[in-house]
Amino acid sequence: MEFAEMNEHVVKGHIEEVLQGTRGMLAQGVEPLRIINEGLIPGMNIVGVLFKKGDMFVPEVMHSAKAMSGGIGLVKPLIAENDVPSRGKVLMGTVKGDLHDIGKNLVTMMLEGQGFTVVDLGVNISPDGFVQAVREHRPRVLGMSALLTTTMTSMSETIRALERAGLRQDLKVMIGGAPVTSAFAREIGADGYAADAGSAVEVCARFVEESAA
Amino acid sequence: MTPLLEVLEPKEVEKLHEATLRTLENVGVEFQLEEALEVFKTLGAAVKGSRVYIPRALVARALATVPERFCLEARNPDRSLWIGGGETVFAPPAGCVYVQAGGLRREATPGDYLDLVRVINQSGHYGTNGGGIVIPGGTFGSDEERFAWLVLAGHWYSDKPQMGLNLGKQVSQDVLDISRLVFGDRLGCHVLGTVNPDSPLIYSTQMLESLFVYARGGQGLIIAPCSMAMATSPATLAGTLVVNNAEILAGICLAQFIRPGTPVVYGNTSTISDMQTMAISLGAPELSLLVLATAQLARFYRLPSRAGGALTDAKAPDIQAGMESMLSILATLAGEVSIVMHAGGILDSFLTLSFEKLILDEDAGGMAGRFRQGIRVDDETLALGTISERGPGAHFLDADHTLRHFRQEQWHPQLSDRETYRVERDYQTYILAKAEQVWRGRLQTYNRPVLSVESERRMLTFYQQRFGSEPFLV
Ligand code: B12
Repeated sequence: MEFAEMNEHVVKGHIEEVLQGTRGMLAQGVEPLRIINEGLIPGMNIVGVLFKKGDMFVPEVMHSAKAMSGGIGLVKPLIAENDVPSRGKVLMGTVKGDLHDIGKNLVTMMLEGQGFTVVDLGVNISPDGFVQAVREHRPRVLGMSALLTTTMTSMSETIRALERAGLRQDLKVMIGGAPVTSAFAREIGADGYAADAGSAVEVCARFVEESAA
Repeated sequence: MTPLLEVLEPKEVEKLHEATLRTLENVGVEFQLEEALEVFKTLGAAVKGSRVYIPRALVARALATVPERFCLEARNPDRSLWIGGGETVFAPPAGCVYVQAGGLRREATPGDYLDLVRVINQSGHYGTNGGGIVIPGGTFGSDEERFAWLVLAGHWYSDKPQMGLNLGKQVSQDVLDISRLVFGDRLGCHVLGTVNPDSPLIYSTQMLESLFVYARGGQGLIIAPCSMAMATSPATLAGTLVVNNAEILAGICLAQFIRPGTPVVYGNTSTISDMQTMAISLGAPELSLLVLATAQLARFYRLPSRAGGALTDAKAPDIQAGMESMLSILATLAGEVSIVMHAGGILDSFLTLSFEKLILDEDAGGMAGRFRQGIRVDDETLALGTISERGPGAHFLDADHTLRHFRQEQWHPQLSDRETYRVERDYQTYILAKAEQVWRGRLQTYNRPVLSVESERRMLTFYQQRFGSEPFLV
């Protein structure tokens, strides 16, 4: 299979074809990193453009993302972990007391689709839980989601807890959820806010560029 | 004939029912509370971990003990209401974060809540009041205090039946305790609260704790999922109904097994997730179809229903808001839903309550209600006597027949503009300004319905002992 054809299968969300193609390329001795960088990721980039234009919709994007990660999964064992291309690691979770996770899941999916590595902690994460997870995973970015006005306060508690644990300096914190605003983000000392999943990706991208610069 | 709108054929209802029973038996429902698992175990249901597989015999047993309708008591007995049995009761919004008045959106305050309770108490449209119409910011010692205050203030300023609030054991217990102080020895259902399953097919600890408190206290429960087709339930509306129906019946089973005869409402607020943004979409026609199906399934099970509302995703009381709200409230009434939360005022997919729209939707509800009444055809309404008496070319304005009928036959708007064009009028703002006048006027003419000194003292003492502070009442 050619790279172009593989890109096309990623765009179409053809998981089986992408897996077959990847196996085929590996068998032919194509360098693993090239499979990711030329066969899989460019497909997902096209998906990103089509999604933004409104020519592709969420369920289709998810299938494309699944196809891409399927391929990456086959290639991964063959390369050193640090060589797996990633735009950075993001930790995501909904705050304590909050079970609303649809928005968080969408942000997670979009970040993964755009090349970030996401560790999804799930729902109802206490400030302590976030601190422990940051200590364990050492992400570039922590994303917190809250949909209840009563759980939003847990976001500032988490930021304070991260400060106390000495984990705040190297970490960018972004927050979101329907009742959350950029003013609230500023007030509690978060680094960023995004109103939807698309902007969440842009915020993360900016964070990563900033820390690279 | 009165136009009852149904979207499912009897055999389609049967199919949905059968698919639901299979889901309950083979997929099961997760109950994240040990006490709930015990209830099902005792009755012989298979329980693996926190997953309960509910056999159809148990579903039938639960359905046999649910009242077909029940009376929701108001502290003023004249304002008590029947839930179920063909009438549609309107309830205000719940849970809104923001209010909008005069075009400005801001965070809701405790003062807004009190104003809303007053405006709604004087409305002929909204049958119930209170609960968490908005969840105001402001300083309360704790969130438990915030919620208890909402309930206390609802009773304090309104004599309509009160909606409940649920966020775990303590909040629900406070809700029941406060209503007990208001109702004293009067028995019956004093409050109606909502429990949401966490779709697909999960009941969270918090919601189960609330369900136990209400069921044990014999108080009214609306069991209502809010799944978003494609995200938390299947993309097809039929598949969504199967998941929702399984969730609702599972919740009803638990409530009935805790206390047979607990008043429960078959509720559903599900809709779709937008394919591009995944945002919840309340203005979607698919929501209105689900509303109609929900009411129909509830009738099939002989239960009262909750669904619909005057719902929209628009951010301002504009044309989009009007179109979407009318579609959903019309479906709600044409489908004969028993109780309708969010029956007016909603903007921005449940996030914002607009004071002006709260009034505008009274008219939308009025129109839809008139539509639902249909056309009465009998000897009197055929008007043959008057037609022959007047003959060709006459008018009917002063006929006796007209006088007997016009007030019942016509619904009269509070706001809609049916006047001739006025050059001096700004039609961009005209109807909104009129709506604003209405709610401001109601605040001015509001008189607090008297509570007995004894109840007031009991409520204040309770609040002080429980929270160590005075409730904000102005
Ligand atoms: C669906 C829903 C539910 C579902 C949740 C299902 C699930 N698995 O998530 C169920 C039915 C379980 C539920 C339960 C409850 N809910 Co609810 N729910 C909603 C509803 C209608 C939609 C939320 C949603 O999923 N939207 C779609 C997603 C895609 O949008 P989103 O979450 O906003 O996410 C986007 C952005 O915000 C952003 N984003 C989100 N997270 C993040 C994170 C980061 C880092 C970034 C950068 C961006 C970002 O990107 C996302 C994608 O674009 C909202 C109303 C609303 N309009 O928001 C009420 C709402 C949030 N719920 C509310 C309430 C009250 C409750 C309950 C307490 C109900 C009750 N019984 O009383 C419980 C509480 C449960 C709990 N402890 O958390 C209130 C909140 C009131 C308040 N003042 O706080 C609301 C506003 C509705 C209302 N008016 O009553 N709910």
